[in-house]
Amino acid sequence: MTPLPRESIPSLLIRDLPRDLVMAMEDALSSGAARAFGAAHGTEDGHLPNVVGQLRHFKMNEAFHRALAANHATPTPIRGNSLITGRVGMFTLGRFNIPAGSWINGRRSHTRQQMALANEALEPLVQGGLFDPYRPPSEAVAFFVACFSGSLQVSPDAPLSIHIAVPNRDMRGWLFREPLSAFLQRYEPASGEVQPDLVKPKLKKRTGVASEGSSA
Amino acid sequence: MSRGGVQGFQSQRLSQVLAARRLTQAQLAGLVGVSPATMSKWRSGSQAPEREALDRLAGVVNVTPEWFTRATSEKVSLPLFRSNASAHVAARAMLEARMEWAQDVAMALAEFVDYPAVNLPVRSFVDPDQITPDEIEAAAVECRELWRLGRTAVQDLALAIEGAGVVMIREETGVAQIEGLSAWSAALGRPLVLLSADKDNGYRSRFDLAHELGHLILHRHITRPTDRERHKQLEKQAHYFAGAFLLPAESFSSEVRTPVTLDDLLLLKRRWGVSVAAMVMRLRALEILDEEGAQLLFKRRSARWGAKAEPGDGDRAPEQPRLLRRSVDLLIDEHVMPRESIPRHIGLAAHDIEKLAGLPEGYFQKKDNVVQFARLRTTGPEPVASSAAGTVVPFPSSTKR
Repeated sequence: MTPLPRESIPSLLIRDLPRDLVMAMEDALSSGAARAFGAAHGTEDGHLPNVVGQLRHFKMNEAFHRALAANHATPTPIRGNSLITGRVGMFTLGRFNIPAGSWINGRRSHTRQQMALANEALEPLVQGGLFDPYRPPSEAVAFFVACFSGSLQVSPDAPLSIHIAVPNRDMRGWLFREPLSAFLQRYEPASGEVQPDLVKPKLKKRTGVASEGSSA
Repeated sequence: MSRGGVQGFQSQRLSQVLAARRLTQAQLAGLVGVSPATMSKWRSGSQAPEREALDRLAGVVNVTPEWFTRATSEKVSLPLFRSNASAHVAARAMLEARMEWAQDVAMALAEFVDYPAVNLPVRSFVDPDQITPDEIEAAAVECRELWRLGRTAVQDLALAIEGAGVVMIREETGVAQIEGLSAWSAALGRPLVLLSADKDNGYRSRFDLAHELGHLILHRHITRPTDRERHKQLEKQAHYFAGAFLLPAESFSSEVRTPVTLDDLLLLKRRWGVSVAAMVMRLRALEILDEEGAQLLFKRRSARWGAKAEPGDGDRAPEQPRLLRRSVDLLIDEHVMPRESIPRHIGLAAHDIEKLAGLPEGYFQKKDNVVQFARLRTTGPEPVASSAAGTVVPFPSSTKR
């Protein structure tokens, strides 16, 4: 088996995705969810969960689109039920929502499944190939996933957490996923590293001569 | 100068030692057994002490007699003190003298060692009104970039500041009201910071150090103010710098939950190494809290914890200086100078050098081989003696650091 390369999926994400874009996603998905719940105000209880769910889709897509545009991530236009995606570096970015604890919703979209095929190139970063050496990928896909409680009784206006997730090629597993709050820490290079010790006085070269006059 | 007096007696040394020991001329005259008038003449330079009198004088103030004949080095820039109250005039003079002694120690060691190069952001403000909050934020960011600290919590500020070539002294001064002072030394070509160790609070001490760093960067070329308002303005700017340096806007504010509670800040206190009170001030500066919000938190803080202390104040040991201590160690380890000769070379009492250089008490009385033995024991777990005659030595990988 070829050894695992030094690159990792989070390091590629950090290389291509500016910190501000990731924070913008955090803001956009939270505010989109709040707007959706606000817009559903006055709806009959019988179909309120469905209305909130659909409004989340639209409002969060709008917010996602704006955040991509503001961060020069060239979003695809808002058109009907089409997915909205953006592009930064080698990553194509998408989004979807899930109820907490269940990571199956991603596969419900045929387009998302097609997008995920590109991540075949990332798989050697997690498990080294038997014969082929790792080649740096030129295309990959990452999703921002908002996890909701699954009930309108708990936090109906905001996701419980937002993750960044990189699926494998058939979207049946995840090569990398992490809450944004933890992922953002990766942008701070000093975190977890030992602070360098530069307090190192060095002996001058002519010490042998100088020491004779030491008791002056 | 009288003919019988010791040649080359430096009257400035007498003034310095009076300040450092917090003695009046009359008190010292009494201790040495000369008249106050004689002491006054020695101090003014119109007369020098005789050999026996100099020996007595040196013995009383605990320096070598020869030290009084050493020319004083160029004075450090006038330090800025946290308290300008007239009640602290003698204390300020004492601290200035201690700082000059620290400069002497650093210079004596610099004959043999090179210190890390000075690496601080350069600013040339000559008027405090030129220093806006934006300028302070920019200086703090530049300092972090120069020191490659990223935007996370600084693990050890003393390590960082000395790595940037600043000489740091931390000693008990007996003047708890004055937390620290800093000055640029032309003779050394680098700055010095002296911190009071009287309050054993790691959080306070760290903030004080960042405060002094602010003075060194922002106020290097500003004339020391005489009026109270100006002095307050400089203090405020140094405080602002300390907050901006220790709690960078981008990373710190992203960790703060709103609405802000004291308990959330307590959790952040240990992580960032900054007191809750200082964090509230920083949140106010970042306008995450408005005036009313900050006041409410201060009120709750006082109501819950009292005016001075906070929970967890004792769980962070104060950061210690290393530069002078390591320089002394280097001279001994490399056999440049025997341990017991170092105080004689510097001219000050061993006790004073130990305090200024952050060395353990009695350091210069120790024998070298004892120190070597102590070091070996601290590098790994102790060998386990078996019941048989042999000794079990731990496998080397367990000592990896």
